[in-house]
Amino acid sequence: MLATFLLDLVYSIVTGFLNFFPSVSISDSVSSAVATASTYISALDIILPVATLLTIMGLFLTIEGIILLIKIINWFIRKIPSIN
Amino acid sequence: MKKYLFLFIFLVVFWHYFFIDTATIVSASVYPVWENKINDNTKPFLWHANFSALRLDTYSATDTAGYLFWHYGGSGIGQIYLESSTTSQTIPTTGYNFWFPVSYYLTSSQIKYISGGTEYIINCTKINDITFPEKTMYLMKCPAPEHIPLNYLKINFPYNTDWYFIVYTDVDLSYINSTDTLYYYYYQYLDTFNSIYASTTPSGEITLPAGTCEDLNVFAGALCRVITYLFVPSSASLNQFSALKDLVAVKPPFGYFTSIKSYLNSLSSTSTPAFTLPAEIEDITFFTTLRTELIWILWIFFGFWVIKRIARFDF
Repeated sequence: MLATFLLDLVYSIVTGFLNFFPSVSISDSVSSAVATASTYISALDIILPVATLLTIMGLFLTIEGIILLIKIINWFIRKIPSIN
Repeated sequence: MKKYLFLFIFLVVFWHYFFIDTATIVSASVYPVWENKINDNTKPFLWHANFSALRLDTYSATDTAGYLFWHYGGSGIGQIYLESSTTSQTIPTTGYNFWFPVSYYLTSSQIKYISGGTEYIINCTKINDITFPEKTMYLMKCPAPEHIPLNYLKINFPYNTDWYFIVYTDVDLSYINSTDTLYYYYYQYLDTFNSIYASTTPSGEITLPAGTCEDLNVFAGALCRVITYLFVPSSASLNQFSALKDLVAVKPPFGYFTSIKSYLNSLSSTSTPAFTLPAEIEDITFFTTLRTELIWILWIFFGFWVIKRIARFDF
């Protein structure tokens, strides 16, 4: 009961906090821009390794996202009294 | 204050001892205790599940009988335990196999057996795709470790996938479906769609075995239940955190990363080109060589960047 209550409480707080923010939406024009960019990128694929570039960019974003998450968690931890 | 504390404890003990059934207690445990399970060989599979409906079918499309469970999508993260009713019974020696046709490709690390509290990976390999009535499935061939009790087989299913599951063995099918009872327990379940169905209503209520509290005397058992009730979180309360991943992925700031990454994924090098380079360029081997070397250079630079980024990161 106590452990369940605490977990539910933490979950409710985190969920409530997250729900406070609107979901990210990027303009539809980005989709068309991406489609257009694809046509140019594919033309250059003979010279440039486009697939490799895109993979690396995806990995770059993933790593930066993880680092951001770690920083946010650390920030919350440091808010606990007596923890620096 | 003290008397209120005693009164509270007394009420909790009284209420819990007399009104909480064992199934509730056990379902609060992450790992079920299997020692006192129901053994009814008329039912090939016994299960306990914390969802509204369950589908249990006898599979008869091939010469080899089997049992099929399936789950349609939804937000679920699952682990299945299969255990023989006779824990002392061992599966045969090396050279025989268990077969797991599953709808979702499982890596070998996702199929394990547990013996003596230790998990061992069974080195399953994907043999081929086989067509079942519902869909094409991957057939996993899992060599039986030498003389281990079928206690437990643990299969981790990935998050948010459709999956089907059947157990076969090429050893002795009667070992599984006639002379023995397999217990199916699916825990860490979180399904917003309640999308597991029962085509065959089980003949009788299936309850999980009582926990170790049952082995104690009246007062110790009551205390055990109270402690379990107070301090063992329910699996549902633990599982709900897995749903946070989806929520975080669409909220700022992570939502921007997710969105940009999905857009990057949709960038394709195979789209219809907006223009074509002169054919002479394509024939120049220099560009092919350059392209190959650029791949190496890009990965090397990326590797350096990763090392530098992590080395300088203040954890």
